[in-house]
Amino acid sequence: MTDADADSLLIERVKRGDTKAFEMLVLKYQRRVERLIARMVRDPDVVADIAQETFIRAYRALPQFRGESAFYTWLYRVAVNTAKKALVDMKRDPIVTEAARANGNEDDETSLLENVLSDDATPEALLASKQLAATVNAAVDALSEDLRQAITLREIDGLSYEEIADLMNTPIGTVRSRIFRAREAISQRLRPLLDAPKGKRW
Amino acid sequence: MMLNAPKPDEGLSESQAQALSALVDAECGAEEAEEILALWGQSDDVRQRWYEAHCIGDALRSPDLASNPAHDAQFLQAFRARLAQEPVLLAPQALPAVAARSRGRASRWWMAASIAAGVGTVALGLSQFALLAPGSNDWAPRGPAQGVLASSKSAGSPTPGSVAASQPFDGKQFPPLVSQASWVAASAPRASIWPPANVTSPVQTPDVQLIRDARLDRYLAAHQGFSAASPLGDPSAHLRNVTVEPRR
Repeated sequence: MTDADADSLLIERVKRGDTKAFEMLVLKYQRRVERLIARMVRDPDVVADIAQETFIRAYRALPQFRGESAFYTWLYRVAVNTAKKALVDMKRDPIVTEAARANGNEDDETSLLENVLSDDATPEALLASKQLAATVNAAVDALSEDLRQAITLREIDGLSYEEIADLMNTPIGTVRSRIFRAREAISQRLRPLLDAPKGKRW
Repeated sequence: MMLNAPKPDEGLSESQAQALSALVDAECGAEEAEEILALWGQSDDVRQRWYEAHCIGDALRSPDLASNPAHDAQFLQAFRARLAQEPVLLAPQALPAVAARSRGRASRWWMAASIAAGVGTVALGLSQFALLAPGSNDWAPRGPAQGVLASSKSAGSPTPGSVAASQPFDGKQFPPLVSQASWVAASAPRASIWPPANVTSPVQTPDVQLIRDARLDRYLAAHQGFSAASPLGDPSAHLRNVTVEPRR
C-alpha cells in the first residue's frame, strides 16, 4: 500500500457517506494546506478561513477525484485556486481596502491583508507551536537509538518499512513495532501540550 | 486479523494502536486498514492517535508545520460545523437499472454529462428565485442541513417527495430536479448527479425512475407558476420547465 492508496481508502469511505473519514484527511493535511496558503496570504485568520473553504470545496468535489494524481496534489490545486479567489474577492471588498488605506498601506497589495492582529498571531500562539516543535525534537532525542533511528528514517527521510528494515537489518515487523513505540513515547510528552484531559477529546 | 471495537471511553488495544500507527505510514493491509477506519467514529482514541502521529511527523519535517494544538482543535471543530451543513456525499455509481441499460462507460459518461448540463441549467435559473440563503454568494453557498437524493426504500412503492431521475436525456425529456442541497454539490463544473449507492430496487416506470424528496414536492406545490410566465421572461435560454408526475 502506498500513501496514495491509504488516502484512497479514506476517500472511498467518504464517497460511501462516511464523513468522519474526511475528518481524518483534514487532520492529516490541515497544517500543510495552511502553510501553503500562508505563502499567499499573511493574515492567519484569513489563512484558516481559506483552509476551511479549501477542505469544503475538496469535499464537494470529491466525487470528481478519480485518483489519477495523488490526493495531496489535487488538494494543493484546490487550495491555490481557493486562495486566489479569496484574494480577488478581498481586493474588491471596499471594507478591506478602506481599512488597509486607513493604515497607510495603499501602495503595497499584499499588505492589504496583513494588518489585522488575530489570535493566531499572538506571542502565545507562536510560542505554542514553537513549544510543540521543541517538545517533539526533545522527545526524539530522548529515545533509544533503535526507536530514534526508526522514527526519523520514516518521518524525515520518508523511507518505507521495507527500506528501513533493510537499512537497520531487522524484520519489517520489528520496524513497525519500533515506529509505534517511538510514537507512543513522543505522544506521552506531547499530551500536556495538547490540553486533552483523559476521557475528553476533541 | 479481527479487531474488536473498543467502547467509546476505552482506548485501543496495543495491537489496534499498532495497526493504526502502520496505517499512518500506509504500511498496513487493506483489510486491517478498513477495520481501523471502521473504529474512527466509535473511538476518540483513534482520532487522537491519528492526530498526534501526524503532528509528530509534521513537526519533525519542518518547524513551519509544527502545530498550535489549540488552533488545530478549533479548526477541526469549525470544520465539523461546516461539514454538517453539506449534503452527505454518496458514491458516484449509476442506479442499477441505469447501469444495466447503459451500454458501457462511454454512454454512462454521456448520460451523466447531459444530466449534469441540465441540472446546471436548472440550478442557474432557479437560483434567481433566491433559493440560496440570503446573503450567500458563490463563495460560500449555504444549503439546508440535510438533503441528498432520497432513495426509494422498496421496489414498487414510491415514498412521498420524489425526484424524477429521467434518462437518457435526449433534449426532449426534462432533466431531473434535485433538492437544493444537491445543487450545491452539482454546481461544480462537470458535476454529475450522485444517485444513492445503496439503491437496490429503484422504482421504475418505462422512462422514469423516481427518487423522492419531501421538500421538493412542497416546493413544486408552492411554485405552480413555474412556467413561461416567470420574471425571467423567455426561460428557454437558461431555464427549463420540469414536470414531475408523482405516482398516486
